[in-house]
Amino acid sequence: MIIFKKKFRLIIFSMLGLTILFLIYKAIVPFGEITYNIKPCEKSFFISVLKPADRINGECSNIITGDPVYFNLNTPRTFDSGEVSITYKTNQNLNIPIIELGVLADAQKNYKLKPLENKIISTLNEPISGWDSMLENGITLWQRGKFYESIGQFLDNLNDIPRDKILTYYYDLPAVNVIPNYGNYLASSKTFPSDSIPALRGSYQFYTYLENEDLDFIFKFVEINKNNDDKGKIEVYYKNNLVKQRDVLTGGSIELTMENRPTGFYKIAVSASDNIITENIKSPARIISFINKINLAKTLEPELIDITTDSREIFARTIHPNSLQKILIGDEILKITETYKQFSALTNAPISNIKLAKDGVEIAGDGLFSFTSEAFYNPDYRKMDKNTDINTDEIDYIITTYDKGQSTDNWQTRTITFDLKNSFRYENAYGFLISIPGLLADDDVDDFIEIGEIEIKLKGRSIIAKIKEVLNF
Amino acid sequence: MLYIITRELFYVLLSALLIFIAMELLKPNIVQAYINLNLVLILWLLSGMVLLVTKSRH
Repeated sequence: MIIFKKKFRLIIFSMLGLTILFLIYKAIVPFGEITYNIKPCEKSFFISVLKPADRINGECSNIITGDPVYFNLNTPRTFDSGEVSITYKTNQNLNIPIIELGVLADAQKNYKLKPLENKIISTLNEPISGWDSMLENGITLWQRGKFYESIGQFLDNLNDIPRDKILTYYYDLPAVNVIPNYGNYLASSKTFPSDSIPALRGSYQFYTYLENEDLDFIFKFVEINKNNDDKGKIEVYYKNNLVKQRDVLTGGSIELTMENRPTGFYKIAVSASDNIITENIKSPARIISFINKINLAKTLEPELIDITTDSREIFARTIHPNSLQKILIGDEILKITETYKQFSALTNAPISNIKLAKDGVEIAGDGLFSFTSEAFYNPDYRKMDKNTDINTDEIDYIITTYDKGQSTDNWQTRTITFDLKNSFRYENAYGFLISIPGLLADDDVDDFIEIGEIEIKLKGRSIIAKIKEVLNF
Repeated sequence: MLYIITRELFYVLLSALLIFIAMELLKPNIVQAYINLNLVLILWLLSGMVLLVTKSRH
């Protein structure tokens, strides 16, 4: 009996020891690689369910009816990269050409998006499409007819191709750095009026252009709530490199000057909370084009606001009841009838004019905005989005890093690799987003995406590499 | 025999519970991701009750 007792004790305590070793192995991932996955109706500690609930349907909460949806990946340690494979199918009513997957990039809830599916590009693959493609080093160039023999040849001759014939999709072509015949442009355009930029709220970014002139801006910032200790900064970028930075100080003017700067486009980014208003921006610069978004601050005596944009879809939202209004976009009227709700309108022109009678509205779009037509210039190449029509827009070239994945019947599996080393990890979890622009949960259309499986393969440093790093080998 | 088995199970479940709680305090979710601690607690309590019953008969 004593021998039996000892043997039994040895066995069950050994099992406990093995269980503990197993848990420690799973936590530290000594070889640096581990895979987590989840299927419908399964419960996983590591991959959370899709949310928010009002955009998810189905018994297993795997049917996406609204955009966007989120899920988290809980991990016991950090990793360098993650291969996310999503198996999904769309129903026949889904008329959304673009689906994207993103990872949470920073604490400001910005996501780094990558393409999951692009039906616009997928249709180019069809034999009757008339498009030719070539793939080199993960980059695909689509041409309407084969003019260039290689992507390198296309890039060498980029300046000879009209910019409005080229579309990019998750590939950055070198932005225009010089405005051709800028002298003639100066002669024909009016000097930028210093009071034509209305008061702006919070953060914004804009392009400006310098040619044989200094960078010279004066900003005046005020705080709405003086009890908050808000901080902000102004950053100047030239060719994606930070060349100057200043802190935002409220109560007084801040001068931003840089002399003897090389010719080209500069991006000025103001980072500030919504408690900070830019009351005034003064500059002798001719080009001031705001990037993607402008938040018009609410003032006591609003004036008529005129905006020029090349955005194809314009979004408008207000939090002020007395900023509800009708906005004129080209010849169309966009009615903002509710606060805290986003309204949108498509434009049919490459350049549109927006007129607002009241401020206190946030205007956003996929292009640039300026407050006079002379101040408008977009140095970037056009990007493909869900509203792109390559035939109507007369596009002849598309350059992209998008790769069409594998399909089995209606189910498709796409794999995207993310850099997790530079991603934001909050409470031991990486955040992911599935973006289906245009998919609305509260419309009457029965369109959805059904998720079959999410699998994530993580790679990071092994324990040996970590020890070597600590011991400086 | 039942008493001996139950007593050993009681001790191993008690050890498991204490070790798992300590591991959870050091590194949250290291155990919970795979093992439900509530289940371990319930099994330990059940083994304790069975132990008391079998002990009185033993």
